[in-house]
Amino acid sequence: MLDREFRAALSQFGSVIALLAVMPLVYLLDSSFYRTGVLLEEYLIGGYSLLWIIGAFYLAYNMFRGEEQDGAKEYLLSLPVARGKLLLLKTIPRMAVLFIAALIEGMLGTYQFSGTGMLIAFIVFSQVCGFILGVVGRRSLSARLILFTMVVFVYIINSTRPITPRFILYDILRRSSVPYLLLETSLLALILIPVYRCWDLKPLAVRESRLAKLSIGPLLILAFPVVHLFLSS
Amino acid sequence: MVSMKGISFAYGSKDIIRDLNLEFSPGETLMITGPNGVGKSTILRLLAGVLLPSSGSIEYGFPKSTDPRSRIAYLPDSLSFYRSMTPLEAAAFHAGIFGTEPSGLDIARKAGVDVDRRISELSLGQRVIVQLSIILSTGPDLVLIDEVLHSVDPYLRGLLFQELVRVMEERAPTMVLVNLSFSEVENLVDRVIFMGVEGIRLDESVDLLKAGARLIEADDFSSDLPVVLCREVLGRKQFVVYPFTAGQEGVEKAHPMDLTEIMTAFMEAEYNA
Repeated sequence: MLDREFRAALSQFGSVIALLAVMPLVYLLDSSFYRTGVLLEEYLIGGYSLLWIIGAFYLAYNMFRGEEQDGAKEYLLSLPVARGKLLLLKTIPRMAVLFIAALIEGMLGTYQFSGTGMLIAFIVFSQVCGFILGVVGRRSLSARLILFTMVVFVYIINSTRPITPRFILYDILRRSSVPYLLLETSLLALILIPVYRCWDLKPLAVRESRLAKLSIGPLLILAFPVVHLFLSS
Repeated sequence: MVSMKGISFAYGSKDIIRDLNLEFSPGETLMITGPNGVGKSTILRLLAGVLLPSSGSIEYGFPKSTDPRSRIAYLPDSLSFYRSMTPLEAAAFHAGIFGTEPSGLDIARKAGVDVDRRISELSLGQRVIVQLSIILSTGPDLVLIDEVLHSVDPYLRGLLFQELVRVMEERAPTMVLVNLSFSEVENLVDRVIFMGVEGIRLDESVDLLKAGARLIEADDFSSDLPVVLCREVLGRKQFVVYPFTAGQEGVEKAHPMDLTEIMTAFMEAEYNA
């Protein structure tokens, strides 16, 4: 099953990165109309960074695409695979692909996150949110909105460097990767554990309302620094 | 022994099953039947672990260290499977998860299934046969088959029943079938559970059921026998009685009934209630 998930992760991420092929066209348009003076190389590097983020969202969103298209969710749940193991089987290949792709990004000289801990925290957060979305149901608009908002909040927090007196404790945590990683993953665990302990074939509306109730606290905790960031910038 | 103790289940606020207690003996083959929407498939899903009960517990009698699902073969009515795989790939995938040898797909080949085509491209009957041969290849102790056999043509159905009988003879698993085609399974099942809106209405061995159910035709019927159903056919009253005790006063002619007739009578009574 792990090799199947690796293949799916590679093919999905590859299909996003393949959009880099459009960058020379963008460069040509730029050099003929706007003349910003941006080099093709810079377009490619910037495009790669952008596609990496899109790729992280895309991988998370499509984690259960195979099962949904095949109608295999009931079959998947009937297999003797513990749900914790299923979480690892689904997320580890995607996290690995994203981490390797981020290393390549680092070699190209662009850094989206303010440290390796931030990068890992974002990767873990986004992919586990993808897993939760798969458990609740990809068709659920409210689940998509809630989880997408949370991942965007985490991206904003992890890729900026606010140092303000009011958020001194928060910043101390941010400077040390491990506690920060723990903070974000514990927020996620608040949602993940109850959602996937009750993971079964109950109707979508039941799973949606459970997620909505569980997400209020973590969403508020994440929204607080993001709002502050916007207000202080 | 598989036992469901005090099982309740609800979809949101809608109760489907309330305080259900059931026991299945090892090697027993039983059929769960009843009108639509009374929770037959839900019982199978609870047993298969794809639904979690709101309260109560299920004990499988398997060693505690094993995941019960590793000893269960479950064929849902949705035929949920990785349909983008070919039968050969699906067999290898399934065996990989269960740690067993992949199914040789013998009955599927016998049924003329092209095992190199995607499952999604196969006919419904072929999909049933492929899936059944894959799930039965893991040597299960509990086989759960939801209402899918009616979608298979008579020849393929014959092959399926042959396969089920072979597995029953080889391993004697507990087999639970949700079925509405009674005549086909009459010789296969030992016990019948009839479910109504209020829960289990009948839980009886097929032999005792057939021995105890009678159809009585009479203009008037004033016995104190338990009447399951009273209906009028061509101007003549029919009474289905269960359990019937021989030698009742006023009953001159009581006809024995086959499983289909008995179950249809229970079904009609449930709808009339």
